[in-house]
Amino acid sequence: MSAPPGEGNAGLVTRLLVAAVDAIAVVIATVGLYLGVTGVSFFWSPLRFQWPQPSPWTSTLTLVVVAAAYLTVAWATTGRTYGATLLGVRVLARSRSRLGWVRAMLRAIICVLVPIGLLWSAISPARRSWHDILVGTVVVYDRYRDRGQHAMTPERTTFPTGDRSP
Amino acid sequence: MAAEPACDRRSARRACAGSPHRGEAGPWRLTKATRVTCPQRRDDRAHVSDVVIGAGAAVVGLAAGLATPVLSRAADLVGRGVGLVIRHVSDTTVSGLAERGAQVRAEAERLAAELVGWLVPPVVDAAVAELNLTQLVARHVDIDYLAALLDVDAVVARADLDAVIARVDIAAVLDRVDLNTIIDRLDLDAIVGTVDLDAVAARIDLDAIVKRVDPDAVIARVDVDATLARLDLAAIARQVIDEIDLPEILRQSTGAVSSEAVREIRDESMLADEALARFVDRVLRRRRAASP
Repeated sequence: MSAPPGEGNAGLVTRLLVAAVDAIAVVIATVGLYLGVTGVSFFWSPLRFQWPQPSPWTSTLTLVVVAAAYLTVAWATTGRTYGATLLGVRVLARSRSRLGWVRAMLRAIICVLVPIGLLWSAISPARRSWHDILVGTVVVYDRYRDRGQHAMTPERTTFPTGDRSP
Repeated sequence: MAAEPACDRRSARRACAGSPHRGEAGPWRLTKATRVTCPQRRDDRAHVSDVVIGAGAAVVGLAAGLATPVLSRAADLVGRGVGLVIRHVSDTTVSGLAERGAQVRAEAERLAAELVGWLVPPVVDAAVAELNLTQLVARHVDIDYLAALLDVDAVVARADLDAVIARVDIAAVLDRVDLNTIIDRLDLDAIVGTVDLDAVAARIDLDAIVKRVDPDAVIARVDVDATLARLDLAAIARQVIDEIDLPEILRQSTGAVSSEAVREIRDESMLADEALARFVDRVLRRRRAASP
């Protein structure tokens, strides 16, 4: 028996929470990058050291790059970012297979550049955002730590409510 | 024991006149201090007495033979006379005679009883004093046979052992018992080894025993302060803390708490997703597919 279109796919609230956690992670990573660059420049030329003051464009670009890189690596390897791990969801191809590097990078870029497309998952019957539709992916509930093997089985995309152990 | 019948000196000399040992020193030579026994003369005396007895018996037998018909006739005549008298004498006279006879018979019995009572005790005493009854019994009675005939169980069953025990001064008996010696000789391990402790324990009604215990009274007798004063609480606490892996417990509890929180967040977000989806469907007038 096939599941309804949106059954087993993560909804807007969960995905917003995932996005928020990932945004925090990206900010922390960016700050870490900034501090790292600063430390390297300090050790490189301590006498001429001064705190780097990147322009807003540079900062924004750095954030976007860090975010895109972070999301690409996460989705291409395990299908889940830190926020997705915390909330128990996973990004998979529509065929319930893992995304390739290209598709992961495309999805990351679209997601970073057009984040508002996420809201479409509230309207979409299959709970798919714009980047899901464009790249051909779905975000499913998956609380198992089996690197997506559980969620990759189409019949098991629905989370068993009786077993909540991750 | 009576001595051999002794002859006087003269008769012995007469009896031994024809002895081949005449004039020799020997057993038949008479001295002043010698008492001579003469077997031949003894046999003569026995022979004479037997002759006398035989003669007496013959006389008695002859007399009895002669007297028996006479006596029989006399008894018959007396019986007939008595019967004749009884038949022809008045009943009053007969009953008077019977009464008189009964009185005489009773008096005679009484006299006989008195005579027996007067004669028998001293005779018996003298006989018992003369006889050594103990040796007599030991010599002639088979005591083992008598003991075998005794039914000891019946004797014990008839004995009032309670009365016997009541007469025993147990305290005095115990005073004479050296318990230490007895205990030293006991192999308690072997005794305990033969006891089925499980069966003993199974027969103990612990509930009943515990019900009879007054916990308040027990606790009241415990000197808690003294007990605590003897305890090195600090050392105990250190030992307990050393035994407990506190960091591991904290890690486990923190992990449990965080995983619980994560699970809660996930559940809540799923419910929110569902609620939002229903709301959007209602706004868009979209029919929701039935859940499987």
